[in-house]
Amino acid sequence: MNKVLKYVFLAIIAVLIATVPLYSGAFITRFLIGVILYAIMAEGWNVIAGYTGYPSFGNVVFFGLGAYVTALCMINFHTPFILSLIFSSIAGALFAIIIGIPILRLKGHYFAIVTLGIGETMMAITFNVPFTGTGAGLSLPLASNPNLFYYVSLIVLVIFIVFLKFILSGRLGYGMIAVREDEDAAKMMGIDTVAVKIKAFAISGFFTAIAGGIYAYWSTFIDPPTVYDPVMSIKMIIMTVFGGAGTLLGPVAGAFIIIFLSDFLSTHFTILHTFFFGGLIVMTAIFLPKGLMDVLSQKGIGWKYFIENIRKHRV
Amino acid sequence: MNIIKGEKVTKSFSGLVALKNVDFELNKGEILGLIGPNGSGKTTLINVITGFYKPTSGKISYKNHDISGLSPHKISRLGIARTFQIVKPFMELTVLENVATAALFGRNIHIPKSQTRENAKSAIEAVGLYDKSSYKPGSLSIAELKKLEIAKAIALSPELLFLDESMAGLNLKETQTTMDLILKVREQRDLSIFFVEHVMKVVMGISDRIMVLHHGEKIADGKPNDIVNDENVIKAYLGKRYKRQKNA
Amino acid sequence: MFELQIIINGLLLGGLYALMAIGMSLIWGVTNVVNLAHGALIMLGAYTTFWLFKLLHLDPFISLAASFAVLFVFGFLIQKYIINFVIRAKMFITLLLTFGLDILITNVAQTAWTSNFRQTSPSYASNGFSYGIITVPYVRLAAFAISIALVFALYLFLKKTKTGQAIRAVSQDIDAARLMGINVANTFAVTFGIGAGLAGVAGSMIGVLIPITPHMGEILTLKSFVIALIGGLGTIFGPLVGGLFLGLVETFGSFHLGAKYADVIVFGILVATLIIKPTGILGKNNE
Repeated sequence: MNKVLKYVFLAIIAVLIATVPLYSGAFITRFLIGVILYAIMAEGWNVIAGYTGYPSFGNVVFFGLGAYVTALCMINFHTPFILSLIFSSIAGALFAIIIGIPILRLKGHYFAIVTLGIGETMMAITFNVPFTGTGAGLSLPLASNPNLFYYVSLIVLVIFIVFLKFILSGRLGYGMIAVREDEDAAKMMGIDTVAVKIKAFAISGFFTAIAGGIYAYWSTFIDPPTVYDPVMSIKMIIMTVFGGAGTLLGPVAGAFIIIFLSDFLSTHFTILHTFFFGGLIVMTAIFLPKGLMDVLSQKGIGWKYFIENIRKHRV
Repeated sequence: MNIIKGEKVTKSFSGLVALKNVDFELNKGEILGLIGPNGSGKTTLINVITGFYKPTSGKISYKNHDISGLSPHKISRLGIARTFQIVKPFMELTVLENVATAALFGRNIHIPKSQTRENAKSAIEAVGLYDKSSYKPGSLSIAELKKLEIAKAIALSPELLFLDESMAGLNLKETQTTMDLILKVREQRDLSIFFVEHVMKVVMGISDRIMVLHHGEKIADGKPNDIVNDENVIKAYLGKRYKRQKNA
Repeated sequence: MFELQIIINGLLLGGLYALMAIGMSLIWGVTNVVNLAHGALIMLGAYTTFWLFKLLHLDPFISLAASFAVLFVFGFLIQKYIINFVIRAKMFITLLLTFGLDILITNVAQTAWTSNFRQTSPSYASNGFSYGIITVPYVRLAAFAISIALVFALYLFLKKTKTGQAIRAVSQDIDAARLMGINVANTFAVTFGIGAGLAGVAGSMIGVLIPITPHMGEILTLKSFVIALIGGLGTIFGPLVGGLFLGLVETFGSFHLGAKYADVIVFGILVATLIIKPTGILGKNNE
């Protein structure tokens, strides 16, 4: 009986979430689209970093690429939106494979910084090649129904989570976690670590690029500093880490809470908002390096938990 | 019939020769002990055989197939497993998850996932860590970590197992149980074992045959009793240390 | 003859680059933290000199000392009360933390001083001497000379002073250093302070050459990393070589391919170095 109740409850929640645009105003829908797009990106970072242990600091590169592919397809070839998104996702995955082959051999700081550099390089290149509109950016056609973006992004997020759950229960998922934990031991178990890393990076690039494509059509205007902004990479990271890296729903929770707080502060406490992201990152790194999900899984939590985190990590 | 065979295996690191024309052979079902002073190339030899390093020259064949220079994951999938001298547990996973991960790979790579669970459980039982299945490695003792390392290796369903100093850091009693464990596992799983060890008591106790490396070259290979009386071996390795152990 | 002018420009820029990066290299080598807030520290140095020049009419080359002092104290406090708390956490947590500091510092700077372009422009800013068709601006020459002098000063400091020896001991082996009675937490803080101070001095001089904005640091962090990487970790003269190399390549590259590709060249070098020789040109092996 309890189980039935639980499923009924979950089903009601699911219906409520799926129909938000029907009963809420444009403001809330807009806010939720932002949350969902960031949740997709954070989950994308989670795949390569949270599960596979390769902390990319330049995942925004897939977002930017996806945004540009969708924009260029829709402007130049009048490709339908959904088809453009598919092109974006393929471009994101292919780009991840191409850059992944050389850079996924790098470890630690080197991998992190080189990904940061690739983001900046793509921004510089986009600024300079003529068909991307250079620094002037690109304008997309207006969508007839703004609620479209809510449904599309929600469906993509749900597909991503279901897909990830499926992956995690199979050999690829176990392989990713083994690579994160100890790459040499993973190799010796017969795990093709190179293939595992490239697949994980491709999944990350695939979905992050879709988020970029949705964003492009949604915002109707893109330019290099917006869609290749390195701070976006950091937002994906902090949302995942805050929620819980290496957990399925942590990034979604992180995206929701952080965007909510950020929006709230920016409307009501503008000055505080200046300190928000930087401060949040510093506090999270010190007190919550394992994220919210880890806190929730503790029995009886108190000051000790946070002090223990500091004690373990300080010099 | 040999299961693995090396011919003139040589490995050098930017000019420095770590292994020089080493010939070796391990017969099916045999336990071969590899001894030698520190820096004599024991771990390097294991690393070369298991694919961590590519041999500079020479040929290694496993069941008469040339495997020299294959990548580690391919070698593992052929049925060769190893442990590491410095254990490499997956720190954020439980003992069961550690071994269950192993059971999905190695020679089991093509078996449906549902059939690998049993394999993981039996590997944990074999090493006697069943009670600790839900523990994380952080709360295990050194002896238990070494057992976990062995459990992960045998969960890969290997035919040939390399053990790199599985007894180092263990006390006498733990050493004894680990020795028994190795013999039992060999019986149950029809394994061939190639192991590196420092404790002569262990080497003498369980080896069918012993091979000695010195400065990257093989200086002796034979029955345990012949090895301990071999002039070269005594001079290079056993020396006073062994006599002291014997008298103690 | 043109080529000679480019070489001179490149070397002069490279000297300043070396100074900019040596702090990052030092901090990385000693504390194993890649400081992604390095560019923000450089930016703070630039503003320190700018405001001292603007409000007190202090010559930028005199205010270098003030810039060093301000940034040293700031860096010391950051390391001691923030970074030291996560130093043994996962590597990417330290990267995330310093990036957080970068965002924090940049946003505060933007709120306080707006995004307007500023420049420290003393009367002699555009003076120089010519030899044939070669021109050497005084400011660039002075910046180069001071940078090289400071690199050598750092070398002597690490070699000859007690604090310097403590820093070197900690970078070799933390536990052994502890046994010798060295306070590791404070040594880290001093190291970061010195790195920040040198970044500040570099920023002061950069602010005379290029416009100052709160966001000027982003690209400089990456350049510092590239230089530290090319030079290799744990060497003092590595960043010098790396800085001169990057200065030359960037100047040549922008001359032949156009200035807009300068950044692409920098990252091309980054990726190429990492793939060919991840330990840098002069580096010892180090994670």
